[in-house]
Amino acid sequence: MMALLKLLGKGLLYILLLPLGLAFFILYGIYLFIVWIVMFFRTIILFFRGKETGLNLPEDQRALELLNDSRDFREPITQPQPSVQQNPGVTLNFNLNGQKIDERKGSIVHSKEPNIIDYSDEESEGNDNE
Amino acid sequence: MNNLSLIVLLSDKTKDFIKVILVIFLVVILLFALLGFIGNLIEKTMKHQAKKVDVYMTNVVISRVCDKPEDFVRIAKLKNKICFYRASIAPIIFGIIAVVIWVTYHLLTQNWGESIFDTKTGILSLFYVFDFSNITYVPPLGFAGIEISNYPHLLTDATMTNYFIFLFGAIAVIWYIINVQAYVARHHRIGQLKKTIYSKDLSTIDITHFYNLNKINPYANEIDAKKKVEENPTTDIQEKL
Repeated sequence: MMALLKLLGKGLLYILLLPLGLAFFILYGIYLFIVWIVMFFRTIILFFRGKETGLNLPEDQRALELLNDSRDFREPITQPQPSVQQNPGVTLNFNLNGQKIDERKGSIVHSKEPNIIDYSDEESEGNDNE
Repeated sequence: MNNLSLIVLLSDKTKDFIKVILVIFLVVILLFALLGFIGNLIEKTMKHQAKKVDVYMTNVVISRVCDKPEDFVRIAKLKNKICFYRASIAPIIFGIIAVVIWVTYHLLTQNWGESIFDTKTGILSLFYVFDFSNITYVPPLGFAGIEISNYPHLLTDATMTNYFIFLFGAIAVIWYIINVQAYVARHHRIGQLKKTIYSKDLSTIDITHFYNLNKINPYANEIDAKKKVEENPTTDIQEKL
């Protein structure tokens, strides 16, 4: 009953605020169209300067560097041992990064997506040779 | 029984009036419920859209690249604008296509006054259109004199261009509105996170964790001295000497 009354109250509130909300929304839409035009020219300028035009800002690259540097690949990530005896079988020891334990293989490269820390072996070959 | 007899005693006109009031009340309640439901849906959608801020700001925050609220807001707002810009490329292209078709069509026909919503040549030709000019009220809940001025029919000549103009235009507008809503949701989320991430909130801190209990205990110095003597009796003698 209270939920229904709450819903009806919200409905009443939305009816009262609808004109104001619509006006706000239309003005915001116009403002954002101007923003879009500005961003369009900004993107073109950045593109011809050879800079990143997406979400990967210099701050993101710096953040990725810091996060990657703070990770230690030599120590395996310990996980709690299950108390139940497992069936005999082949055991593969990999840590969460997909690398073998006690083996540093590969290094981290920057992902195009700032929200993902990407791991790849492409650059690792060069680093390992060093 | 009393209530029933009261209803029987009422005149027909009063009964009709009560019926109208009840129906109007019911319609208003349904309208409130419908709008409340739509509002709840919009709120949930906006919360979902706002989560994108958490996704694109996590690395920057946990690495402490931005350790001030001002930096956080600056980076988050710029990313919000970039997100909006990228999401709005497609609807704006749709809108441009609609405008180009509209201008080309009107240049060819030279009939600039023709509306895309016209009942004869526009999108409303696809729907029933009612003429309310001769409407009359029939008590208690009836209306008469409503005529159908247009039956749905598909245009097959050049005027069907209006369908395409409407189609592209409607897609562009709806898509753009969704993007504006997402921008507003993210903007609101940035304001929330600015307050919570860098807040100095003592309400969850138990101050006794920071007490040095030795300072509180009045016998702490004596106990410490005894402990020292017990641990290193030789050094104590040397000190006395």
